Amino acid sequence: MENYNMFRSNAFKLYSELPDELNELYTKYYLPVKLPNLTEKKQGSLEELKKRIEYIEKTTMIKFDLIFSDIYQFSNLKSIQIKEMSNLGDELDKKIFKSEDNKLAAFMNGTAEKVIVIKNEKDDKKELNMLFINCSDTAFQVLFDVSENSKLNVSQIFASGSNDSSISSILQEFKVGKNAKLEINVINNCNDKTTFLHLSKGEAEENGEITANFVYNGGCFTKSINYLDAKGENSSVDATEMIYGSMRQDFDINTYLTNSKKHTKTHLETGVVLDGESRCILKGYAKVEKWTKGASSRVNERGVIISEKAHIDALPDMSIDYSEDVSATHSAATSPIDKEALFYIVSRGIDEKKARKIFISSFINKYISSINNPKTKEVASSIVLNRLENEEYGIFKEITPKDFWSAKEKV
Amino acid sequence: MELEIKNLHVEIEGKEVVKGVNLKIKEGEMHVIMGPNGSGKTTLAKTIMGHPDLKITKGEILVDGVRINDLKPNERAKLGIFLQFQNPVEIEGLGLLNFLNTARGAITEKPLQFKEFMSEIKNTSKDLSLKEELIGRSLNYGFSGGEKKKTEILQMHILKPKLAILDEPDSGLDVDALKVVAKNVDSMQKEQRMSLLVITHYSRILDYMEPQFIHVMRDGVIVKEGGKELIHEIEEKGYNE
Repeated sequence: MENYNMFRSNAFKLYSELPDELNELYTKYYLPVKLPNLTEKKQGSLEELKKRIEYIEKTTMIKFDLIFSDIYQFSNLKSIQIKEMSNLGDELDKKIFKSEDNKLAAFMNGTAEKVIVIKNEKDDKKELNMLFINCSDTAFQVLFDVSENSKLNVSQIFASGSNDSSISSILQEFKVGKNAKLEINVINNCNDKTTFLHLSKGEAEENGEITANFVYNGGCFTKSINYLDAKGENSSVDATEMIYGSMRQDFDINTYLTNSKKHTKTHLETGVVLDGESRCILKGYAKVEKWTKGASSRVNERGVIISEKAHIDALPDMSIDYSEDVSATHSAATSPIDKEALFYIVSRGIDEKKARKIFISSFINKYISSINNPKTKEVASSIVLNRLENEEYGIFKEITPKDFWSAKEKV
Repeated sequence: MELEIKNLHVEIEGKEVVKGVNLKIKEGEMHVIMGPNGSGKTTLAKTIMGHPDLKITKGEILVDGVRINDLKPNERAKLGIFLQFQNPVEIEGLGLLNFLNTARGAITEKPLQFKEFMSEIKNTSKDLSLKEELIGRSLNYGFSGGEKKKTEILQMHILKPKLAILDEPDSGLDVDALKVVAKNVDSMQKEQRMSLLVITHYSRILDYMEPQFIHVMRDGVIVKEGGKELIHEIEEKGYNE
């Protein structure tokens, strides 16, 4: 414990010394990380936490395969190894990101007590539902090793373990082997006192595919940095981000795509809806390396501003080294709710308040539809619909079978 | 439903587009407004539906004798007015089926059994030769011009209006589709004694419909009125004479 405290103390020192934004492109565009008081590690009530988990499982209709909390963990999978931090020592600090890499890495390397290694079998097809439910400031570190020719569908739901302020953070890496497919769905629905930090690195080997869907709904502050690399020939990265903010929620979202080899595909599609006084900075950057014949890359950012005080900075960017037959495009557009679309909806008898909700939920559904896992898609959709109906977030409500996706499936 | 428009003047961004239109459509009647581009036909249609950007500076719109100038578009829809848009908007992520169900619920204010609703949609789609797969997709998203127009007519069937305004229902339709749509609208109008106002540039669609009144609109006013014989006159001489 003494070693751990010293490690934690050093990490926080480094954390406070590092600048909020290291990338020179974005030195004017970042939101400083807001952290609650970290001097004392809080200890939540286990009984209360278990009740909360039971409630989330009931409302989402998902039986989680893995549950992680700073005071509780549960696993019913055999193919999983959990390593304690004390056994790793400095090794953890080098495992995924070095603490010097950025502020988030410094914080997470200093607070993670474990690194969770998930490796599936070759030619295997598996679905994995993970719940992260935090009561204090412990970070989680997860390393996915997706074996050759396998398919892994991972859904990660982040919730708050109590009504207190906390930090929900995860540092993770996705290694996707040859001909393997990974779908990773990250859904943040923490309460309004939670700071959510997400730092990830993903690499797809030859013919490998990464589909990454991020739904940022809850929390008072979200900072996300993702590096996704189509590393092997014919590999692909398809990332979708959906951000829904209101009140004083802040989001600083950074996604870096790389086409490293020939015939690779990278694609980032981001949608933001902001209400109240919320702010969002979107940094979508794509790098197409040299000698990547046949590579293609797209970065599209779209925003809908609902209130006058909400603010979006959309900064799509690209760097393309010389290569034959490469296609790369980027775009950004932000606007209020389309008046003609609104008129169309109200002309069908629907009142304006409901029409606005329909427009917003449609915009959001467009991004949520990229989630292939039907249950996770239902959960994401339900969280958003509940928010539109009740103007609250961080809440899980029972999923009703009459919503958009169910109706669509019946056709 | 009876629609009466009295000396209607409409402005958009300070510019007068409709300059004193008078029109009366009695229950079960079919009227056609023809006219060149920019004559104010679409503005008139959108004004009847209550577009917020169109400002009525003079005159009134009456439905069954009640002034509706200040009603919101959804309130007009609940009275039974339906506008088929010239350029229907595409809304990705909004399921057509879900939208129709919500709209129907808003107008009738009573829930409809899913099975009954689906059956009505499927039968109408078949009548309109509309691909069934479209009803499971987003509203008008990626639809061809013809598919959008057919989807508008499908919505009209589901919402069962008392007065329908069809703004260029023929644009984007091929000859076969035009025939299907026109006959479908014509039979619905007769069966339900729906009042109908059709806006068009061309007479083609009117070969399959039986309008009683033709109005020619130019520069924001109705300049000529008559029966179906007026169509042949326009075909021969154009709008300028």
